[in-house]
Amino acid sequence: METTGLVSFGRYTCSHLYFLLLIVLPLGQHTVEGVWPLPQIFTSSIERYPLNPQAFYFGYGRQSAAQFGCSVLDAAFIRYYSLIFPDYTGNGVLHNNLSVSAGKASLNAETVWGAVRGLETFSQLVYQDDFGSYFVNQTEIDDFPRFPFRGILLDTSRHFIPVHAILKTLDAMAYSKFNVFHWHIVDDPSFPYQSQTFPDLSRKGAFHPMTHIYTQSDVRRVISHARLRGIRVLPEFDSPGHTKSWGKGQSDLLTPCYSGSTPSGAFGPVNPALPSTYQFMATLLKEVSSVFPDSYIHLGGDEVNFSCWKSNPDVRAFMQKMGFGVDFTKLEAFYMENIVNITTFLNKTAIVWQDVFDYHELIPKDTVLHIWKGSPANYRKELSRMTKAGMRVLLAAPWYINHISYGQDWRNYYTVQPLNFSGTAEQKKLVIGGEVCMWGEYVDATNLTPRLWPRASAAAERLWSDEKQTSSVDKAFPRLQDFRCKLVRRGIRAEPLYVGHCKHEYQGV
Amino acid sequence: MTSPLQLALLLLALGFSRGLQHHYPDQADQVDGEAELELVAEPSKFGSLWPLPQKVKLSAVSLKLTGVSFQIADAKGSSAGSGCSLLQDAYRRYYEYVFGGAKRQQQPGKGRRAAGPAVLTELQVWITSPDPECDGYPGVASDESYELTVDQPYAVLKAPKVWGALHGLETFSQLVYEDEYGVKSINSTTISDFPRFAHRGILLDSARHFLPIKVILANLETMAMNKLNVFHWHITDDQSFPYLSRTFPQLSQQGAYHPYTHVYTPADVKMVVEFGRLRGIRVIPEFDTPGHTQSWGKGQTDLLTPCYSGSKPSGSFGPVNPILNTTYDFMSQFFKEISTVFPDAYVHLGGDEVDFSCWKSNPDIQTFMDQQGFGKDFSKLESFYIQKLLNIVATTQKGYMIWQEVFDNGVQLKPDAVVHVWIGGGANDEMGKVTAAGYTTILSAPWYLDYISYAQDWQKYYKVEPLSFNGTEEQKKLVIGGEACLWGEYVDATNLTPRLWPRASAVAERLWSAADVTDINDAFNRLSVHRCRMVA
Repeated sequence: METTGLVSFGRYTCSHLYFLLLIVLPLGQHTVEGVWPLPQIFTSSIERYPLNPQAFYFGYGRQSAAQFGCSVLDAAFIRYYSLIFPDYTGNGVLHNNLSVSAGKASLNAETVWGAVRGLETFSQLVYQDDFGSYFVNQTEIDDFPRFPFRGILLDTSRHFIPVHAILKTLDAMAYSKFNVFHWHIVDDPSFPYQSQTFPDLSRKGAFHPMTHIYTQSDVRRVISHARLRGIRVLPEFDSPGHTKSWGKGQSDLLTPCYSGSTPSGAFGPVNPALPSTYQFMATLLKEVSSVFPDSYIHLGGDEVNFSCWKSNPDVRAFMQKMGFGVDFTKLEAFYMENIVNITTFLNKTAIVWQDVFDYHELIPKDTVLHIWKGSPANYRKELSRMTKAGMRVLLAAPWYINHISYGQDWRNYYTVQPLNFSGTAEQKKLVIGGEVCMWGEYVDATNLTPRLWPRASAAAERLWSDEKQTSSVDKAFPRLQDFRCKLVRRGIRAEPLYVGHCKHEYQGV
Repeated sequence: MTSPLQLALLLLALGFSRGLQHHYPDQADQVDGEAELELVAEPSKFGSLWPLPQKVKLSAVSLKLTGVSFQIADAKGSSAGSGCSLLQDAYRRYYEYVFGGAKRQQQPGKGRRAAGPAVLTELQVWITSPDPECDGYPGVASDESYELTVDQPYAVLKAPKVWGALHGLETFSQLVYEDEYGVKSINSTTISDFPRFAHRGILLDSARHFLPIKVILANLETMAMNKLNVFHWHITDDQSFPYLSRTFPQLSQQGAYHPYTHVYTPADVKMVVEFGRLRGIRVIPEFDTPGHTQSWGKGQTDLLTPCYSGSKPSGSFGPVNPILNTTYDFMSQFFKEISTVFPDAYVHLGGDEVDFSCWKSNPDIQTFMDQQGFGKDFSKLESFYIQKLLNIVATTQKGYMIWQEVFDNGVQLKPDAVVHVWIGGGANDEMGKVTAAGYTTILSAPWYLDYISYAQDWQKYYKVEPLSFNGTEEQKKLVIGGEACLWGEYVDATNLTPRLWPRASAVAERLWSAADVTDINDAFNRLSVHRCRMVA
């Protein structure tokens, strides 16, 4: 009767902390439901322990380096208490007395970030029987992610996504152990980021200057919500292409296109021939680097259309002066090099789309390259080439989740093998992770959540779990179905994988 | 018709849209290859009307509306009065809809009325026929026409029946627009409108996934915004039986996903039917047999055919067992109940995709086949079953709809039967055959909305012409409409709304508006605004 259930989690990353999950005991039988993404080392028995919501509490271990007052964990305890006991509306999470028959579960992690992941795992282990009682089986888990970078890209330029929808996405990301929110915040159609230094950018470039912008406090809210869930916020200010909306609020930034010998009135990419461009970018990026605390910044650099540059006599003159001849890829490389240098100066590491490397292999070695193009054969070649050049790489190509199709396409996302390319073990280490991209042409707050979940969760397991243990799609299916119902139960509008039902269906409209 | 200038604009638009297409992997580029032209929304000369009325005359004269002074009221000569709660409810709904559910936001006495431009103070609704059908149910023969005149000093909406008036109110609400200061205006307008097809439906499947009642109600609301008038409720199937039958409660007790949380009680059904009626929407239930009935077997023993493996029952079950008298006793009682619970004059009896392998395996069925002289032709057995079922349903005074296979198998149908064409590839031939045989038909084959794909697939649905099959004028008249089907394998409450709308709106316009309303650019412009209206 007095057995102690030990739930221990280890190897998450830096300094030591220990804390305790206190569980009330007797025994029973139940098979364990799945955890998503699958932990690296997982053993459990059919021995189960009941949890009494009134007596259960989270506490810091005596030897834990973190104690009460650690903002991330204090908040996580409160959050996970209600995620574990959705029917229990009482409060007093931290104030109940311990029952004498209480047993303990312990969670060890080297950093708070590991602890947050461990709490998520623990919350998925708890289940209710038909009478509503809570149980957890005796379990031992040792867990750590396969890749350190597990991201989701949201595009807030094609359509504005209200802050509450972003926050909800961050919640769901934490449930799948994603840890990077790649915020593709601006693009051709709109510039919703309200800049302190250049307020005209959103005043003129947003869909609406008041209702369709992210204020500084919105951005802070997103960052702090993400931090509490162990999620980094990586902003992308894509240039020199994809910048139409920038031109509305910043004159002389974009290249005037010519038709014959006169300006046509249209504008192309950022004008790389003017010194004022680099002053502007330096000032903007300085602001961005102070607003977004992450040490990385995404600079874009994809899909630059050269036709406007070609048409412009000043740009052509600049090309001559620089000795670029008629090779506009050199001009783009020149521009990107300058922009990357700006971020280096700001102590940030740059991430750029693969185009930049394709044009210009000699970019600073610590730049991260982001692969987005092509079939498996193509991106495997690119992975080989980039890692051979000693560059760190992020893979997004197989996870363009905005491309919807009929049926269970999550299987395609699940069966990706990110390290299946020709290269040495050293090269493979340079793949730091992957990213699920939800481009916004056909996505806004009306359909974002069901399109993203649980399809993105398939990629989450690929990026977190051991590939050998998770090679079977059919074995993953029931676990993912179960996880999807958990998401729905937690208020995430995750769509079904196939026919069936959840005990608690989505109750909204 | 395309002048060089227009062509140039088109190319520009194409170039622009290329610029918008961010980050397509190679495989997606093929999708782009067959690309529909991507459109950039601009104002349409028809504003945001959707579906486009048959005859519209818009003028540039604009009139203001304010929540303080505006009202919707019965016209003096109207045959419907304050006792017509269907209309009174609709007046309030559309008032709140036009003025944002506002508690009369604008302050009276600010002088805008006196100084400003002309104000529209009233919409008079005039039901012209002696029987407005206030308390009736909409049907396939209901008059849905209306005429709307917006002019000073008041607007007039004339309709023979309440059903037309409901559509007219929707149209009126779509004519109102708001300027940057939040001032509502409407242009002086004359509209004369009626549907091209009488049957304009949406199929929802509450068996593959249970759909909570409020999702169904929200969908009815959206259907009304698109002038759709049939909710085809595919309520049961193999996977679950959520309909709570008073006569056979064990059907849902055993056959639903959950006997309490995943069922439709009689009160739920009543609510759906009435909610639909108030919006001019028919609710046609489908109880699909003899296939698609796995869930029925859980609560009703001996209903399904026991399958055999060799000489022994395998423990699994096939379609409804057509050789037992008990089957038909059950069906009589069951459909008797259905005929009272669902007031619509039609019930959908399914009859699709019957798998013969289980029947083949069963020795009793083989014996029966021999007795009946069916030989090895199991479609004859299927027809035998359906024929008996149709006769049973006919005694309940209901008409029936059936999936096309029933017709294909040569079952003798009542003259008022509706054949539902759903099999893609050859749908045109099928329409030709069905109508040549003199039966009325509805089309769903090109409108399986559960098949999603990337980008603007609404254009594909929009471009369908239901009467494009070979046939005489008389045959074409037998096509009474169509349905957009949202089968539920991958759909539940979490994603139903964004999958269905605005894609189903494309079907709605095809079924309501005149055949020559085919301008995809104009449709895009109107539909873009219509979508924002549905979101709001």
